[in-house]
Amino acid sequence: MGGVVEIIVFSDSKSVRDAFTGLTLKGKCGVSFMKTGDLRKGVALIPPDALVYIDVSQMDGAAVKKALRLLSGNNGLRYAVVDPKNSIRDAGALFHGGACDYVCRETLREGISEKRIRCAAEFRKTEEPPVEPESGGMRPGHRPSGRDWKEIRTGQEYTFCFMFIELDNLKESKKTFGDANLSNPIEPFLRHVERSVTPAGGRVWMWTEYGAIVLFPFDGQRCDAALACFKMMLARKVFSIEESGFNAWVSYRIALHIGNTIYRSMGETGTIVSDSLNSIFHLGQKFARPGHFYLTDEVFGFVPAPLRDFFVPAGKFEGRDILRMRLPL
Amino acid sequence: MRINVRLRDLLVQALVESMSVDMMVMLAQRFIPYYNLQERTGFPENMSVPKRDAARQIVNDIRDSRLVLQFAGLLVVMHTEGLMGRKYVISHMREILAEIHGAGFIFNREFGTFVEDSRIRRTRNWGTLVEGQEYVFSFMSLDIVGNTGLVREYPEETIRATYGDLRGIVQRSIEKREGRLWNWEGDGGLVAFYFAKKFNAALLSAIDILHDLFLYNRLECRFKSPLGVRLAVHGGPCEFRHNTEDILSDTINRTLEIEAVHTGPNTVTVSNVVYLALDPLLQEMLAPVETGDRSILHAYELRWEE
Repeated sequence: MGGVVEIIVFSDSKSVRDAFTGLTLKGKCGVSFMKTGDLRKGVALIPPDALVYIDVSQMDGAAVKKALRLLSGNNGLRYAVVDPKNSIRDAGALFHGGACDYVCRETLREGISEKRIRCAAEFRKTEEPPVEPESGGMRPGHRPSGRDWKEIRTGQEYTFCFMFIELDNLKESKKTFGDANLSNPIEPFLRHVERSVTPAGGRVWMWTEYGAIVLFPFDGQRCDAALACFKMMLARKVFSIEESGFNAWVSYRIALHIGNTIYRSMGETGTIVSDSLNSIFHLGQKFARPGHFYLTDEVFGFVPAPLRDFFVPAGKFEGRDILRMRLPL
Repeated sequence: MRINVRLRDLLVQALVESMSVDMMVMLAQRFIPYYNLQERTGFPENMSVPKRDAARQIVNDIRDSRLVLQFAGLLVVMHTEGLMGRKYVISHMREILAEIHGAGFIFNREFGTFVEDSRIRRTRNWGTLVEGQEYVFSFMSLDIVGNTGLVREYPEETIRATYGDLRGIVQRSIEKREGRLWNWEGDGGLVAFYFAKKFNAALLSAIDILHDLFLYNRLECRFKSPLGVRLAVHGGPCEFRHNTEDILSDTINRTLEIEAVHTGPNTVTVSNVVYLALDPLLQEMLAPVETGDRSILHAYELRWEE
């Protein structure tokens, strides 16, 4: 990338424009400005090797999402986000979605350097990056179900992140509480599961006798299920004391796996035949030890990098490498 | 709580239809010592006060003393559990409850009084504590480790945003457990718990804050090194003042002392008073602390399996 970098800035703000103006003076970057409202029209005219900066300061959450979808869906277009109000809480997610730079308020004040532009341009080349299984991404045979449930239709096959969760030591619990009384402590646990997975887009798909199978939509870019389960493991003692009603430590095991299944609504899943569904049941019921959280190496690729050192290899199961979360004591 | 005309009329009606004038006076005297109905109404001593006049005067005086919620709470207790061994059927109870609920208060059975519904409103006195009265609280103190160094090292905006995030974590954790932030000075604050299992609630909030902060440091923190906090939980009597920053209390002072002197970074230290009142499972989560003096303290910190 030694040549001139063509930059197109979509912004209505003078301060944003000023921050980029310095680049043109050095002659190594060509900067042109367009109004934010012209994004849709303008994207079609952008040369494929250009670098687009979009100012999100005048947009609400939905408009930002729409703009990013437009940019990321534009065949390998390199784009970056300017956030003069520091309104984006999860800047990392922008990179997962395909952005190559994020300019916050502080960076903007300091001014944009040529070095930064070159780093951003190098960060994502114009061609599609190769899919690296170690760091997530779609694999052959995957049929992305999307980031949420909007596009998911019953009867169609999709790729999901499957979560298995079940209470441990049921025989002992039955002895302690009795069959008839066991339903009372289980209720808070099931509510706890629902409350924990919902913010990450998870939906309980099947209730098992003492647990559940949860589905998370999977778009190949991110998998929030891993963080949701991490939080559940971190909070398990607080849950035991505060909500469970067991008056004893509640132990549950969790397993995560990415795979395909025909989707049917909850309650209509009796006839589904799915390898992935079998795998997650096997992983949860045959492999997982009580009180632990396991995931396949495929899911591990989507664990946020700062949390990866909390997972250790746990062996192989049905041909897959499995990792286990180290437990909080 | 601002009392509307309908609620006042309902209370008057309830008194008139449910009890004698002597009983009304006895109830009033529970809240206003030496309450003298004759003196308040202007009726001579040798003349009995008509029921409706007595009820109206008592309700007005209770309202002026800002004790309507406590008074209505007593009526609910009389209606549901009885008073001094006798059960009373209080008229219009359902309407009184609905009217008070509409103003943002729900009846707390444990304390026999109305407290604010935290889904609707949150005040520092839970809508019910009275200025100058002594109550038993559980306190949680929080302090940011190395605040002075951080303020020197980072721009003001970074500090403000990060400390704002921490405050958000604290608020979320305490509000789930009916805690109230009494004081926040940028680099830390004091939280009070009064209702329900207040000692459990204070410690669970503190543990929750440590867990959330762990994830925040790993995933979101703007600083080069993790943001650290010290937390302490202690409980005891304290005189309530609406201006909570002005409260002088040995219990609060001891909480601050435990946090400043005996607490390490990213740790919550618990006084023995609190420790003894905790659920056994919570006690299991704590380890004894070497204090170097005679005080007995326990602490929790987030540790991981190797």
